[in-house]
Amino acid sequence: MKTATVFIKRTHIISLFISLIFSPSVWAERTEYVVELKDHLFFPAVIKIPPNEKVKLIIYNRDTTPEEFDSFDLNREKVIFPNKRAVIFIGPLPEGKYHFFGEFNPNSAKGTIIVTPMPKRKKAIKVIVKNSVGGA
Amino acid sequence: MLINTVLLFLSNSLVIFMVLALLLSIKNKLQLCGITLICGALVGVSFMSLLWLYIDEISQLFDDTGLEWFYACIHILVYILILHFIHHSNTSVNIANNNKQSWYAGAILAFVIMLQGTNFLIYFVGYWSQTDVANALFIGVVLGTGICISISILLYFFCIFLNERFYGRSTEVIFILFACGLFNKTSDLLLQIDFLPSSHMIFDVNFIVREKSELGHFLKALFGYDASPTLLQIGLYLSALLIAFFWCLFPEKPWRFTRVKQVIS
Repeated sequence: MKTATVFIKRTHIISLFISLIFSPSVWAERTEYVVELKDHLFFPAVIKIPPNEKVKLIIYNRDTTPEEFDSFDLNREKVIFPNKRAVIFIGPLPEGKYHFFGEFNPNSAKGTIIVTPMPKRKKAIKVIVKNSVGGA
Repeated sequence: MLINTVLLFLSNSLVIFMVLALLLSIKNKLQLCGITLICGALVGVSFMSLLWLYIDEISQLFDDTGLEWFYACIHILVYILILHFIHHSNTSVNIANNNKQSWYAGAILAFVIMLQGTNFLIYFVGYWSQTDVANALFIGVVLGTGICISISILLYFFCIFLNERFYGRSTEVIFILFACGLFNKTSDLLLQIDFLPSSHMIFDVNFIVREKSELGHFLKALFGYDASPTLLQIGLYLSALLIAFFWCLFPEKPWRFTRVKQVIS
């Protein structure tokens, strides 16, 4: 009986510890924005997101070479492997323009995140990539 | 491509050269074994190659946040290793302790090479296959190595100067700041994957020293300089600094202070 009480107490402590570690931010639903990287260009090159809200950026690398998503303005840096995807959370941000680029190809892979008031989206935005001449 | 290669090499490899300079500046003082340091470097290169093979698989773990978790864990491990290393330098000097110190130094070097080298290796190998950029990559690496060696030599003599003229444990203090910088990088990684709650930046000093400038790279490598930190990051950095100073620079049993005060009174 005593062992069972100790076990329950310990389980409570462990569950409390885990719930403290995994803050609500981990489980919160985030609006998703999908970006594709092809021929060292970001599609779309301009992404509009709402102010003061944390969003999830999903980046697919369709190239055969790796790329590093980098942004001084957003303070984010992440390697995206060939034919793989990467997830980055950004925000909450005040209204404005935030530039990002591919660190391995900074001259071609460029993009901007525009933080502007807009109606809330609940589902991920699906990006249809058109291989038009001139890229983004 | 050439300038980009030099910049990428600097941002990734400068840390390795700086750790090497710091360790060499206290090598004689702590009687560190040179062979152990070389072994540490070789193990680091092996770890780096191994990590490079599996890094894309690791990155896909935990809903594509595997790489951040992996790097965060290794950063914390290196932080603890550095604190252990400096803490043991306080204790009495004997052969067994020196061997322990050497192994700690070797392990720090190995993990730092693994962490910093892999990122550049991804870039280097990824673009080496493109025949038109191979020359630029090679020249970029040579130039980057030259710059890194120059900076590390300057840092080495600067540490020796500080140790001899001002404070005998200056290198240890710089090492502690470096360890706290690693902690700052960990908070960056955990913010990026939404594990830590992010908030607005407290200040932005990019207009004084731009984070991505040459000086910014140097300061970031040395003590984790962040031009636009959040309140949480500042709090974590200061906590890491307090823990480090308490662990490494104070006596092994700080409560002895109170006893001494009682005896005096």
